[in-house]
Amino acid sequence: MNVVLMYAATGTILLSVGLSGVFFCAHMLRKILAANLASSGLFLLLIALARREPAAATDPVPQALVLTGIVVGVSATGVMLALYRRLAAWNALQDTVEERQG
Amino acid sequence: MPSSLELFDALLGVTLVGIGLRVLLARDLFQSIVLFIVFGLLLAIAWCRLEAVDVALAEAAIGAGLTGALLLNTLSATQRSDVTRTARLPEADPVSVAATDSPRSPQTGAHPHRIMRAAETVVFATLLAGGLLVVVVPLACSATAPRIETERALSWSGVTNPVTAVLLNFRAYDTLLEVAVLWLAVLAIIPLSAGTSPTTPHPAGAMLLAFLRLLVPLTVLVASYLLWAGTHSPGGAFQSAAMLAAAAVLGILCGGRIANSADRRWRVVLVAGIAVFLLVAGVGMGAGGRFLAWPHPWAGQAIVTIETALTASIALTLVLLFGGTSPEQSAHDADGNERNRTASGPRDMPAPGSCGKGPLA
Repeated sequence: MNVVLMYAATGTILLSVGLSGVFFCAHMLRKILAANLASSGLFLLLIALARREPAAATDPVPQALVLTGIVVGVSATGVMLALYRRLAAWNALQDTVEERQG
Repeated sequence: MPSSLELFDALLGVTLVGIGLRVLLARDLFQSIVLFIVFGLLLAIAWCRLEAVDVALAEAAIGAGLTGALLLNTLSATQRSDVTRTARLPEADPVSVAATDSPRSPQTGAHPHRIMRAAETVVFATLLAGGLLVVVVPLACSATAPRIETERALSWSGVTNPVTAVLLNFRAYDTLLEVAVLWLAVLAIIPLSAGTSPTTPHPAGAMLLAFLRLLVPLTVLVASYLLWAGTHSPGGAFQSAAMLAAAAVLGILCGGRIANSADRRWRVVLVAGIAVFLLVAGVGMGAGGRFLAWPHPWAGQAIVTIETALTASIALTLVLLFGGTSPEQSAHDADGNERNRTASGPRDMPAPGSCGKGPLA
C-alpha cells in the first residue's frame, strides 16, 4: 500500500465522517467541529493526490489551494462561532424573560 | 513486509480517523475540542509525510492552534451564559448528560428513535465513504501529469519556493480574493459580536506572565523569519501572520485588551494587505504588464512587499476573528467592569509588527 493511497483513503473517510457529522450531530458546536473535520479530510485527499507518480515532489498548485482553504476555513469557522455565540446569548436572554414572566 | 514508514503511515491514518470519530462522539464538548486540536497537530505530521511543509506550518498554527482557541473561547463564553439555564434544568447541559453509554455509540440510549438515528448516520457515512473510495482509489493509483510547467516558470517567478510562487505570482488572483474573504468574515463578525463580551480574560499569574515575556518575543522572531523564509523555503505570509496572531491571542486571553476595530489605525492595518496588493498590481499594469502579473526583474521585490503588508493584515484579521469590541460598544455593556476598564484609558494591542507586547509592558 503506497503513501498516496493510504492518505487519500484516510482523507476520504474523514470527509465522509465529517459530512455525516454536519448532517446528523445535534449540537451546533459539534456541527462546526464536523465541518472542520470534513474540510481537513478534503485537504488531505487533495494533497495526497498531488503527490502521485511520477512527480518527484508534491505538486505546489494543490498545496497553495489547501493553504488558501485553511485560511478561508478558519474565517468561516470564526463567522459560524460568532453566529453561535449570538444565538446562545439570545437563548439565554429568552430564558431570563420567561423566568421573570413565569 | 511493510517498511516501518508504511506502518507509521497506516498508524497515523487509523489514528486520524479514530480521533475524528471521537471528536464527534465524545460526550463532553470540551473533550471534543481538545481532541480536535490533537487531530490538527497529528494532521500536521501527515502533511510533513506528504512533503507539504507549508501546509503543515499553516495547519499547526491556524488549523489546530487558532481554530482550537476560537472553539474553546466560544465554549467557555456560551457555557457561562448557559449557567442560569443549567442550574434550572440540569439535563439540558450537554456536558452532564449520562456518560454511562459505551463511547463507540453514544446515540444508543433508551429511545428507539436514537438507535434509528445512529443507524441512519452509520449507513450514510458508509455509503458516502464507499462511493467516494470507488472514485478515489483508481485516481490515487493512476499517474499524474508531470509538473514541468510550474518548475519551468519558477525561474521568472521571483522566488524559489514553488508554493509561494503559486500563491503570489501564478495564482495571485486566488490570494487577493482570499484576503478579501478574510476581510468579509471580520466585517460579519464585528457587528455579530457587538455587545457580547467575546473573550474571558483571566488575570494572568506571575508564572504565566514570565512565560509570555519569553514566548512572545520568540514568536515575533519566528514569524519574521517565516515571512522572509517564504521566498526560498517553506513559510510565507500566512504562516507568519498565524504566528503573530497566536502571540496576540495569548496576550488577549491573559488580560490584554482586544484590538479595537473602531480605531482608525487598525482599519488602516486591516486594509493594508489588499491596498498594497492592488497598488503593486496597478504599478505593474502601468509598467506595461497585465493585472497581477509582476514584471520579471521586479517580481521578487513585489512579492516581498505584498507579503509584508499581507502579514500585518492577516494577523490582525485572525485576531479580530475572536470578536472585537469598541469602547462605544463595551460602554453599552451591562458589565460595569468593562466600562471601568475602557474609562481607565485604552490599552490596545500594539501593531502586529510588535504584537502582544502591550499587555506585558
